[in-house]
Amino acid sequence: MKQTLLIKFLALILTFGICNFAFSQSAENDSTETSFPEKVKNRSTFESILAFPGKAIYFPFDVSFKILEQSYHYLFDLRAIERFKEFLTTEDGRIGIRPTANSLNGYGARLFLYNVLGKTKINATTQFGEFPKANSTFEIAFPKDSFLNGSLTFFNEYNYRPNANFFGIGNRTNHADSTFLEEQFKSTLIYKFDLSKNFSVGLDFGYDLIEIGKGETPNTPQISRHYTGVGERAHFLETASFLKANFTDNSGSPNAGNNSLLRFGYNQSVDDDKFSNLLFAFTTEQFLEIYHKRTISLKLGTDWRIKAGAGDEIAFYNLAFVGGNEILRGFDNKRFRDRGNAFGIFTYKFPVWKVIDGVIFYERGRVFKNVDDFSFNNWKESFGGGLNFWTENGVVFQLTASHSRENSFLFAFNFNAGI
Amino acid sequence: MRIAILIFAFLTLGCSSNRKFVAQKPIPSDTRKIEKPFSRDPSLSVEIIDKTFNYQLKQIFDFPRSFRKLVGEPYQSLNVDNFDNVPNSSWFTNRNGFQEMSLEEIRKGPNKALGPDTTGTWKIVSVKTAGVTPGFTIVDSKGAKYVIKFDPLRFPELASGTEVVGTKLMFAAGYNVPENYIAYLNPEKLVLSPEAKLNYKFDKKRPMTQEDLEVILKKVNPNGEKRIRVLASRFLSGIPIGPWTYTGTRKDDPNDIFSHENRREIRGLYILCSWINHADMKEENTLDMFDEGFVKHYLIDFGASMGSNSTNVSNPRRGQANSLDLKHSLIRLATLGLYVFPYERAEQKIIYPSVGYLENDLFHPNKWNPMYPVPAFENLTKQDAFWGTKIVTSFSDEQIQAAVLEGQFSDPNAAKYLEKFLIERRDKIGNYWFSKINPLDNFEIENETLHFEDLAFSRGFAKSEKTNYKVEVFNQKKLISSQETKETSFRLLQKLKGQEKITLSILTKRKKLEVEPIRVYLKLENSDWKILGIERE
Repeated sequence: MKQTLLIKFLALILTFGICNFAFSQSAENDSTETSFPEKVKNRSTFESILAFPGKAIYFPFDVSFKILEQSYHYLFDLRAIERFKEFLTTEDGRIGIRPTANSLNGYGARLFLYNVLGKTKINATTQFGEFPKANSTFEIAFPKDSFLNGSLTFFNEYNYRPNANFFGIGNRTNHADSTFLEEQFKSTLIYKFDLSKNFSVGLDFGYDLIEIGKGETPNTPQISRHYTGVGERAHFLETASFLKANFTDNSGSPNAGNNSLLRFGYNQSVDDDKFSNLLFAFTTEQFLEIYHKRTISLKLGTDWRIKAGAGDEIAFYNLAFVGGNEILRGFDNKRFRDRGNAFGIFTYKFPVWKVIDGVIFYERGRVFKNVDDFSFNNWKESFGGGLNFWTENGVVFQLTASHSRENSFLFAFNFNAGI
Repeated sequence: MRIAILIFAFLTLGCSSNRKFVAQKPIPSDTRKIEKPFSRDPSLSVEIIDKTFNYQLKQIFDFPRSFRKLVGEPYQSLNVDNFDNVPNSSWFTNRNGFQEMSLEEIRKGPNKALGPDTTGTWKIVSVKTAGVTPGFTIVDSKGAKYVIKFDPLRFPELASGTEVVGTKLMFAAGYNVPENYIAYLNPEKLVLSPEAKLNYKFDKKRPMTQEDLEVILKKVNPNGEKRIRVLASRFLSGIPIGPWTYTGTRKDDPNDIFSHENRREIRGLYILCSWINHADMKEENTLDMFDEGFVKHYLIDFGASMGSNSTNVSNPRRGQANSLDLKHSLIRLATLGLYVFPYERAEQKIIYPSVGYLENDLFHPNKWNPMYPVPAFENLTKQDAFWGTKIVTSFSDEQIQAAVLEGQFSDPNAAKYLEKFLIERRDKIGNYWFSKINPLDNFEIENETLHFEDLAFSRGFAKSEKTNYKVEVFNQKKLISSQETKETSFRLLQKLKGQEKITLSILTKRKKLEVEPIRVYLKLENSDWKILGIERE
């Protein structure tokens, strides 16, 4: 049966070939002189017939590409993004709105007002995650040299997280989720002074109001009330100082140098002294180009909260943590909490295209109850990879997939439209 | 299944393996009067996406083409004559590759004047503020219209010098190019025309003011010099109707009968572009002009060639990879960056800023890449490459020197450096391509002797004492005689006169040269042998 079909198929091809030959001959013989010659084809009719199935198969792809090309045309040639930006900006460019998005806080918009109140930059951002999760920030920045030769920023943040995750305190907690509601308003005045091109120091003064309530996720256990801070409203006056050192060669995709931050702070519980605490944090990241923009980096960090008030414990939300978008990305956000943490992130970065880097990272970290408990046992680990889309000013878009023992893969993205 | 493939192969390739001489159809003139075609304004981004992704995939699904490529029988160029040459047309004029041009002709290039008149004022009629470097369109005191382009501030002479040298070489090669001059602008002699408008937001325009002009001049002349070196590109005669495409034909031009990806002069342009490192081969850098009743096809912008990137110096990547090179990106991603392409290792060494970054170590004549995929270049066959190489190697050292001198580089060492670059690259091209195809050409009969030229030898890429030519004479596929000689001529013996038609198969035998013989078809007419045509490979 198959052979008969094959013979028929071959006969059909041969017939096509013979007909094609005959037609082409007759066409040549019958050709008459016209004012303009016909367009010259590079293939015979027979070959054109043979090309047909491929054309038919490819047709849907072709159409898809045409649509993509037109979209690209609108985006780049007709400058749709710029036009959209212009649409969202006043004529003088001082007031406008920009979209924002990241996997942690959701989607939202940033309103900016430049030089509206004297020489200031005002940014107000609101992002909504899974409703009614919300995060809003309001920032007024006075430029460089505006105050005691430094810059002054007044930063306000409002967070409403009706279903924040909580996994208990300590390094050995189960991956059993419970939720709580967190409503926070934080207002901080940040003074920054550049000591040199590479060094800057700063001082923060702030007020922080936090209220912890019942989580709003149905069928998920509530956070246990015995944890310090649950069901209470707390006010803090916060002060901190920091020293920043940046010796990297390129902010968007560093290949050499170091980036470090040292921070000391004190949070005074206002109503009573029971939640007051001291904080100490240090992170340092060293970049080393192995060869031709293939760069490894090692980031080491630690963050400690020390009880400084009359109470027995530090409120759980003020504890140091690991897990989330920056440290141990294979774990859920703030998966482990305790008084201190330590972590190390090894990253290998390589160029994929001009402004796209591929990254592979391996992270280890854990939380500790006390400094005395510090050991290299039971460190959690996660690893993953992703892509960074960057400009000279920083990473514009980041896409990562991370793995840990608890999560086969956690995907995260971060889009920084502000750059 | 095997039988089906064999039949497929027979039917698709059968004709090409036929050794009987098939005369090319006469190529009609493409300068016949037509109605003015519509103007086209294609999008660069669409071109990039289309040629980088869509076109590549589409080619894979073009089964006859893929099959032909697989078996080494690609589609040949359509617009060649019986001697595998390109006749003169609205696209191309045989110049140095056909007959050696004098140094004076090389220096003059397409120029018909001396450039914009600097004795009077230059009236600005339009301005380009987009991009890194601004530019003007001016009308000089004699009424001639020019586009004025400036050099990048950090690299004086770079773009203007490169553009002029590129223009001279491409003109001498045979392509239509504009008249490009190096001129000196006196800012005080610039006057604004009322028609000069300034784009200030997207499509919004307003009349240009003296303040606007000063702002623009400040960008290109921050030191307020009275004499600024510029490139003046004279407006082409006729009506511009947009760039030409690298695929298909212009539907509304009945003279345009050969699909552009199958035109020899566009396929072979790959070799010319690889020579001068003209990687910026986007459609925007071509232009169709409707002039004297037909369409004339131009190459228009060479500022981003050799060591220049128009607004900056070139870099090691240029010419090595497409701007959006999916293949290289995927290789880097798949190997997690462990594979490093040679251009990533190369150091961007600038010896003379006025001629930019020039290198020949990374250059490979068959692996050169334009910034954007060009379908015609991807269809390049050995025959097309031979044609291009024939033109590139036709340039003598002196001719190259003459072209470079026109770049008016103030540092003679910089000019020498550019000359050296072009000579070295020319030789690399000659050495490579003349070893990939039988390099015999210029067949002619004189005194009953067939003479031919071994271009590899005559242009210094091979030694004659190490070369033999095996000449076999066939009659209707039957071998009549065979002999091996060191001479580049073959006496057509009297006894061959009994034959009406013969085919000479000439194989060049040289160390490391593995090529197919070239076939020369002869016919006896009035007792004299006449060459009907040749067939390469």
